[in-house]
Amino acid sequence: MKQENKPKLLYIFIAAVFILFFSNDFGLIDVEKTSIITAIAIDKEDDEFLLTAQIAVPEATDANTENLKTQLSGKGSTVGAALKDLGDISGWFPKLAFCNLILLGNSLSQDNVIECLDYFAKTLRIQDSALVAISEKSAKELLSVSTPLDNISSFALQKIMFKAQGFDKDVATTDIKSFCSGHYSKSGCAFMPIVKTLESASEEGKSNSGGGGGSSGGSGAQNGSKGGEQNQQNKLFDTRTTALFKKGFMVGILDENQTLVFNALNVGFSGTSLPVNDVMDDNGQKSDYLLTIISCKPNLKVKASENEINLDVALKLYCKISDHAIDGSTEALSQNTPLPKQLKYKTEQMLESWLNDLIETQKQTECDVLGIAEKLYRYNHKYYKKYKDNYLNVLKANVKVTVDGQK
Amino acid sequence: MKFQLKTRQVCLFLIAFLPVSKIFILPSILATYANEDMWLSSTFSLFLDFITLCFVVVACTKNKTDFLSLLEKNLGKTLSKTIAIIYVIYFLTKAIVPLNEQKDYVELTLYTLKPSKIYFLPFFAVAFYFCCKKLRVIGRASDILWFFTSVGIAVLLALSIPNAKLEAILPIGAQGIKRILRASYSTAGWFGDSLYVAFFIGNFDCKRSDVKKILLSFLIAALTVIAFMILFYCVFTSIAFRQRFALTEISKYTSVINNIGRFDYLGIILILISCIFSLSIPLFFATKLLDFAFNVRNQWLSAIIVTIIELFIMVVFTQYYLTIENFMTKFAGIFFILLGNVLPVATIFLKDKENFNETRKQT
Repeated sequence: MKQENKPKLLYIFIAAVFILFFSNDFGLIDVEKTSIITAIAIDKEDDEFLLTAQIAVPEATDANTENLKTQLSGKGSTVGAALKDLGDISGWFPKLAFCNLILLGNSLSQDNVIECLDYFAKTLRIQDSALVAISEKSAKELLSVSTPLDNISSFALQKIMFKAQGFDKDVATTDIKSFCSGHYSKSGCAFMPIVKTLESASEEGKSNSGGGGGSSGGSGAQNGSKGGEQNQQNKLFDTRTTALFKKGFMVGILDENQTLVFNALNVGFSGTSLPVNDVMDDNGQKSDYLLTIISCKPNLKVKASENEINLDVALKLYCKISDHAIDGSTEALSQNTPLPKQLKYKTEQMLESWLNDLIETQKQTECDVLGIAEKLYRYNHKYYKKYKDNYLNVLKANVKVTVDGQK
Repeated sequence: MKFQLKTRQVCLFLIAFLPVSKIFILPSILATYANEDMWLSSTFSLFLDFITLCFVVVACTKNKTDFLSLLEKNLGKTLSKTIAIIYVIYFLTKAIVPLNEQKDYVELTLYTLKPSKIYFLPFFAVAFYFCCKKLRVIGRASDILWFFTSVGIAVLLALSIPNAKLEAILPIGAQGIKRILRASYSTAGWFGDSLYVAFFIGNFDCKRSDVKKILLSFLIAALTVIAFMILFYCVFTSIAFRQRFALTEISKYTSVINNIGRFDYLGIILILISCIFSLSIPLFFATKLLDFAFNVRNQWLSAIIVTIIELFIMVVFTQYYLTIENFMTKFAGIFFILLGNVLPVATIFLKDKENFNETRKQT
């Protein structure tokens, strides 16, 4: 090394030491002073937000393969203040980077939920892709529920709410970003799934299909419960109904069937299994089918004119029979069996009726969950001003479902 | 004649540094004014820069004398030094908002806790070093950083495409020409990059055939910015104006990110590295202008003055950042457009009479 370079290196070394000494370790924090929050439950108590955080506790052992958790609550007049309170009482820095679920309690159903959700949309501490749902009871209570699906209830809930592509699309999943986008859109409407708790099938001794002809994947009531365990261990979740929000307030509910067709229009529901019951065959015999939606092409068009707005809803499905409850049935997903005429007709009728119900609920609740206002603004801009206040009332819906199978 | 830069480096300079400063808070400011037409506002600003660049590049082909000497020869000592001082103010002002936005970005997204006050000090050390060097440093940095910028932006754009609702930018032009231009005017401080090329006059051998290459490089950089703006609005739609740091937000909704984790930060870090040099460029030119205006011979005196002024503004005026940003977006637009777009057009009239005939023969 050249002699003349030595002083330069010395200066660089001094500068580096100076920066390291005063840099507060560049903001790094001790992992033992950090709580890794996996889910947050928000309730309202005495005009204050009660924020309960489910915290994953890392174990320094490989002896225990189960996830360990703990739960802490903080209170505050804003969500941020409640989170700060939680940090104050625990001495942990609440780290939200791994928080993938935000549960709202039923105490918030009468309030403007955006007042608490907006915090998560604005803060950089949490992913905007965290799922949002509302509980039919206290959110804190829901988070405390023990379930046989996972030792951490929020993980079990996420499994039910956020299913892999190609699996049943029976939950109207939403995240912070989508909810806020909806809230701040032209219509001011948004949605989120409602979380209900169920007793396990083995405990109740009855089937837990969740009602109607809807698909059966949405609840956690798959026979995975441990029959002999205590009642506390047997809570399962159903998230197949959907809460509708207008201007931040909950204004209505979509039932399982409406949620299913809403998903079909909103994101498509390929991979979903659809039970179609009491289909009459040529001999006059009734039987039950299970269809699998192989592909789904939704089309929602809004056409405005001087006198009216037409909403054309078209759903083109290509289905295969997964199961047919009849003696000697050969139908299976692996077989390229054509769909019987009666089955196609019944499925089309059933889905059209659910779609009409969905549009009717939208009118009654005045919650534009299908985003008609956005379509009016984007594709019929010159009529937007004329109809923006009463478009749901003048809307004429034309619903058409086409079901096809192997040919 | 030995040139400090090569044509290749000028082209890569545009690709490396033009897009990076425009993807922090600029998209959210544009969305505040023009909503779904924000991309039209940025397109208009980039179009203005393109027109300016056309004039500047023609001036590059005509001259073999560097920009500051040209100024002095054409306008005289007093006027050229006055212009240099005005441009020192311009560059120092132009650097404030992007510097603050990157400081905030680093503080709020890369740190979990409130970091020590000196966490941003290393930037000024790098900027000071950069300012002490000759123009050649920009060429060398461009040679490396165009790759960082391209890979970083490509990662972010690729990850954001699956979540973009392209119909969100419809109806095109619905916000009206007034709001579109207003957004463009308010964000003029982020544009005006063609001016930098004026400082390259006489520092690279610009043949007529090189004009196309430089303009094409600008178009590539401009299209990248426009694509980013469109995707940003299509990902966030009605809440785009609230997403202050577009860079972190745009890519994180992909299911790959949900499953694997925030690997998009690899792209973000590459962009941040380019940004360190991109933010140093106005300070670099302010240094050179200060040297010229006051005949400073010392290699580091102007550099240290410029760095300390900027550091002083950053530290002392932290509490007034909102006022500064409001001033920049509401009132300073005319200043930025005049000095960043209008005056550089006049470079086409600059010529070194002594060398002009010789240069014309060569080109």
